Amino acid sequence: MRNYLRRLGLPRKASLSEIEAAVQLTMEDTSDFQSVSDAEHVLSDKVIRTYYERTHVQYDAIAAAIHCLDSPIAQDTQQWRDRVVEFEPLEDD
Amino acid sequence: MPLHYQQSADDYRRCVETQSQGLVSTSSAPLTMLSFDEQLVIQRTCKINGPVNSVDYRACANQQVVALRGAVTPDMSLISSDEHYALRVSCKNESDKGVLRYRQCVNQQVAAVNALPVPDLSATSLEERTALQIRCSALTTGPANFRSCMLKEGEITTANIPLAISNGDSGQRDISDNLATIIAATQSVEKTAAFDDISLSAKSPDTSVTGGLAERAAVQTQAISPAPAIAKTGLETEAPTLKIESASALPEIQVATKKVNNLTIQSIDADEEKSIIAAAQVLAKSAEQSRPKEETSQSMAIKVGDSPDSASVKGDQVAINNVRSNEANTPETDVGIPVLGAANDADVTDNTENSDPENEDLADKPPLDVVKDTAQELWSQLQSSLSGLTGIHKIIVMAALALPLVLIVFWLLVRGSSRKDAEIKESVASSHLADMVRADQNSFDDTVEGPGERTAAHHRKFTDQMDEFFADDDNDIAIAKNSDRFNATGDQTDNTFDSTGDHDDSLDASTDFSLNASSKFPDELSPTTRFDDRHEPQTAKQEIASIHDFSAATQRASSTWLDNYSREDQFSLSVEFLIYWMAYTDERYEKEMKQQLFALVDPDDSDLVKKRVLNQDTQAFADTVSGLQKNTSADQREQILKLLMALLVNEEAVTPVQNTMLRFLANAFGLSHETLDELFHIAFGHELPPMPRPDKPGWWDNQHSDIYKRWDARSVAQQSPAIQSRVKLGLPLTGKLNPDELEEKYQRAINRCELAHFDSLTAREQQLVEGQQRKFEDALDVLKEISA
Repeated sequence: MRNYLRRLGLPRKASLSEIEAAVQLTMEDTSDFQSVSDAEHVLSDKVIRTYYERTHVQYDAIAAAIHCLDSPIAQDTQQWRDRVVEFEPLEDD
Repeated sequence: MPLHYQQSADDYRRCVETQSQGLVSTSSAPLTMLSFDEQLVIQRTCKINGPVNSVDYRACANQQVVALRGAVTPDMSLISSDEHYALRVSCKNESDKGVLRYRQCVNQQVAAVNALPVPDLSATSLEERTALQIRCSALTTGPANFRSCMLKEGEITTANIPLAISNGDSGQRDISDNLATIIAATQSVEKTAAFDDISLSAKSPDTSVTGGLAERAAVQTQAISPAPAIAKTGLETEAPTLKIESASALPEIQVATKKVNNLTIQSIDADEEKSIIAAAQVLAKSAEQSRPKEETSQSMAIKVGDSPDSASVKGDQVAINNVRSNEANTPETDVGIPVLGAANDADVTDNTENSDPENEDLADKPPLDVVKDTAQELWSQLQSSLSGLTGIHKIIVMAALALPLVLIVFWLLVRGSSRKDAEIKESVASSHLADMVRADQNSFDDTVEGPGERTAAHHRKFTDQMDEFFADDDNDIAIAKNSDRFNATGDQTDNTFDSTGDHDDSLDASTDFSLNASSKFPDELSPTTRFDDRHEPQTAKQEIASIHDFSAATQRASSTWLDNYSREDQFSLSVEFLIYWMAYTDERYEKEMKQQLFALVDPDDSDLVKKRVLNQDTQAFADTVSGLQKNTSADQREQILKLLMALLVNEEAVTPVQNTMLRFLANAFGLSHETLDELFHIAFGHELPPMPRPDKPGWWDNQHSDIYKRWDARSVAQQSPAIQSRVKLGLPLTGKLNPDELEEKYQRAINRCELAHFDSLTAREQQLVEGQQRKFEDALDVLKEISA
């Protein structure tokens, strides 16, 4: 899953105006317009954003618990390491 | 068993016979012959092999019992309850390795304890004893260390210091180091050097410490009184003498110091000897905390009576010798101090050789010397005045003079004691004894055998609060607020209940809406009620540095939030954490509840779990998953997944949060997503939707508009009972219900809560699914009533 907030440099509780400003700013410096457009679509719709953010929390948690998949009893049939790569804690977190 | 029964009678019979044979062959383990602790260890060890009373479990239990053959049964008869507790805690780590290791550990600990004498605390008050136990419990681990501490601390605390008194007939007995503190106390007052060890020799063989309270108080007055006299002796004196002289001046006790003082106490008979010794003990007690660090090796001789024995001073020892009164050292100036409560008056006399005021010009002296001289003059005048007094008058005057000093010393003692108590309280926060206070709830015995009152209350509360996951409380305020929220959601999209118009109208005309909100689910409490209605004792677990072991497997370099709990509690709290995690991240809670939760001053375990979840403590989540990985069986982990599905997921309504989390937990718990799909299909009758991608607009395009309504549990809670029931059972939200479909979905929901699916979990989790089962039954009743 993509971490739009991180991509746009936004806090978790970013307002709509903050999102729009960040989208505009990012659009100027990227060729991945589709991704930015998707971010805007997801973050701008209240309902979609609600469920996106809830799932975001899950990915944060999974990223924190990703070492659990190193357990001999665990499996990784869903390629979680790839899925949570954008949710891994940053150095300065 | 039911499966075989359904297949055929023969299958059923064969199954019964097989099971019975298994039980017969393995049920001979004489578990009841073992101690409760050992039974518990076996239970814990074998539980991993299967449910209690299963064939595998019994085989394991039998094996454990057999392993004990030849191992000596521990004899706990000489061990106190405190020591027993310390022993259990100390051996708890071994309990994970089987009952034999546990017993070996117990035997080892018992042997170590029995090698030590039993502390005699008969002379201590209950309060002192309790404080002592707490202190030792906080400071030590293991029963032997605990007893050692009790012995050591008990010597200090008790007034019955094991004095070793030598006398003319019985020879010299060593006295404990505590007497050194007598000297330390005196020196503390006089601000001179301290003494080390002391030995006493006394005249009468029956000299003993009676140590009654009145006597102690009396001799304390006496003992403190010499302080000013001693202070005046000064270090410049080669051998200053401080003498306590009785009225008859017959026996005397002389205290001689190598460097500073000679203290001579004259006593008329053995009673005064007792008083002096008692005074020494009291001083030892009072001076324990004020003993100077810079102690010098000094000796003291106390001469009593007319014993021919001489002072026995060797190294750091002090001897009390019985001498004839006419052999007493004669002080140059005597200050009589009455021995209150003693048979005869005894005067405390100090050497006034240095205390006589000299005729010096005060104006030429430094201010300090002027003050000193003035004090000496006053002191001299006081002495001369006192010398004119006799008998009872002298006693009264001396008592009056000594009273302020007594009060000051008393105040210092009380202050020191208070500080010490505070320190003890702090340490008790992490002490074993603190846990013993509610050992019935917290010890590993009871957490397994049966929850204590607190645990039971906690279970009840947790069960009640599970209702909120389904957001079907009928709190009016909550309803109003959530209606607003629901409407707000409706502003964003048409995929809301409100956007479809009046939900009542959306249902079949035959639907009966006579039920109102207040009659929905009587067993459910509002969040407010839940938080206000607390009966269970609050726990201080979060503050206590627990003595409980967390198995080595679970412990990482850094501690986890589960470290403070017993292993059994860890399991239940971990499951609870996952339940709340899935529920709360789907926002199945009220804001009021959250505010109240964070305002709690003394949250209990469940509150702490919820706070962690609401704080989105991802590290706690990781710790929880990791702990469950390492401390549960595959069966238990699978049942945890089934539990989450049974409690939180509604048919046709798995949310992105639930879907994501179930998939991750399945992998972490060793199940592939294919296996999870199978489990889900069995439970809900349809496939688990693919991995949700709420970050992709295209994924949203594929979601049915109906799904948003089902996802939003809080909004569902504001709907009519009929709608809630439809959501609960995964039935269409509109249109006439098909009775067959209703029955089918109800049956599936009930099957999800079948207790047999959770037989590896604890009674707590089983209670939750039973409660969930009742909700499905209620939903069926509602829908049947409406459809009728």
